[in-house]
Amino acid sequence: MIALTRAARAILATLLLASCAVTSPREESRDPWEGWNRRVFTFNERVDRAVLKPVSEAYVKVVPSTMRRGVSNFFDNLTYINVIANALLQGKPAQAYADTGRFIINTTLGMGGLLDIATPAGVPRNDEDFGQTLGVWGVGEGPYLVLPLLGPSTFRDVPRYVFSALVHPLNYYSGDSAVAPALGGLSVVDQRAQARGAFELIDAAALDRYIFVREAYRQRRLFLIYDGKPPLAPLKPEAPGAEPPLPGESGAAAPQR
Amino acid sequence: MQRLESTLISVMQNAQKLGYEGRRKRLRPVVEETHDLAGIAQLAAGRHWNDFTADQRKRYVAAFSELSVATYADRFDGYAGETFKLQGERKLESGDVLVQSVLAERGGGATRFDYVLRQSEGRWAIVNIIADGVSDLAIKRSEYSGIVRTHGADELIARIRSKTAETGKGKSP
Repeated sequence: MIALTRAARAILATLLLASCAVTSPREESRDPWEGWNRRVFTFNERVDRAVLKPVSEAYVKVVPSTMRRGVSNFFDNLTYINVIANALLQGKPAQAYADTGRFIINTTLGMGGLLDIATPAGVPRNDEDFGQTLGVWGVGEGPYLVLPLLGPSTFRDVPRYVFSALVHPLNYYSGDSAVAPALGGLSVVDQRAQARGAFELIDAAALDRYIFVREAYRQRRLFLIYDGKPPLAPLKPEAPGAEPPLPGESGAAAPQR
Repeated sequence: MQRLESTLISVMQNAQKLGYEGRRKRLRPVVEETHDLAGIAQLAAGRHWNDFTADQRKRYVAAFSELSVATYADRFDGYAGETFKLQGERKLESGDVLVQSVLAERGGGATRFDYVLRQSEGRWAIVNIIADGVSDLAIKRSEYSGIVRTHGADELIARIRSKTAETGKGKSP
């Protein structure tokens, strides 16, 4: 099993690295399509202000928090097959085992995932997806990309949308044809409602919303790839004219004054 | 560190009574004492700091400090049973100290806050806050240097000021 993942890793990493080798590590070139990205970003923000923001605000106002928590738990649980599959792909069988236990407990005793019984029982939620798996395999993040409606992403993170759709139970639901779209819509509203704190922070602190979101996205992804323990000193060569590392970013940071 | 967190909790608990202005007044001395605001401002400007005139530096640091206090007053505007739990601290190679803390919500959600403290002029003060892996300074440096590069330092100062004014607007006094 381990040998197999190792071989698969090596092959995939070679394939993907070959296609990423053209991107240079210089800071500016990590966002070579900034002009286009900014236009999509503005479009997404307009859609958010017109539809998602008001709908999710109404949802938060009308639906009691215990019910909203149930909804969040339910959708979290549905994405858990994705989490388990990617824990395995990243060579973390112990975590995948715990995640499977969590999925079974919450699906059965937790009434289809509405209740999260596993967390208080000491089996916390993990966050894995195929973009992180590619990162663990050594694939570089590639250029930054803003996707219409989906939001911030990078080259490396694009395949995760396909992967998570493939392992999402709702996509295999064959009953009433109105159920899947209705649940899909609710899931989007739930996600926006959960992210409202982040949106408020952007409103309060961002001078350039586009750059704020881009940097926050990249750092957050790195944090997730390393499961919350990103290395303090990134092992990359200093690009000419690069800024010195910031406090907390690298062990080598020296005070400027 | 503990002083900042206990003030934040007390400000959250009394958020309505204090109002935005009241929160700002309560938070200002604590934020100024616990943060190295001048140092953070300088780091956020990145290498452009060297090109600022003495006057620009002064106005920039003042505007930056105002925005930092305003952001705290805006964000900590209500209380829903949150608690801060200090997780420990360790020394970094650079001599800075990393203090790890978790803000736990009553519903079960949690945000990890890593504070980077640096000693300057005999006192330890916060120079960076990393929330769930997202470094406040790294975001600011990208934003600020982008603005300075295309519009200059005065435009950056103007935008920081208008952001501060905007944050205070529409809030109960």
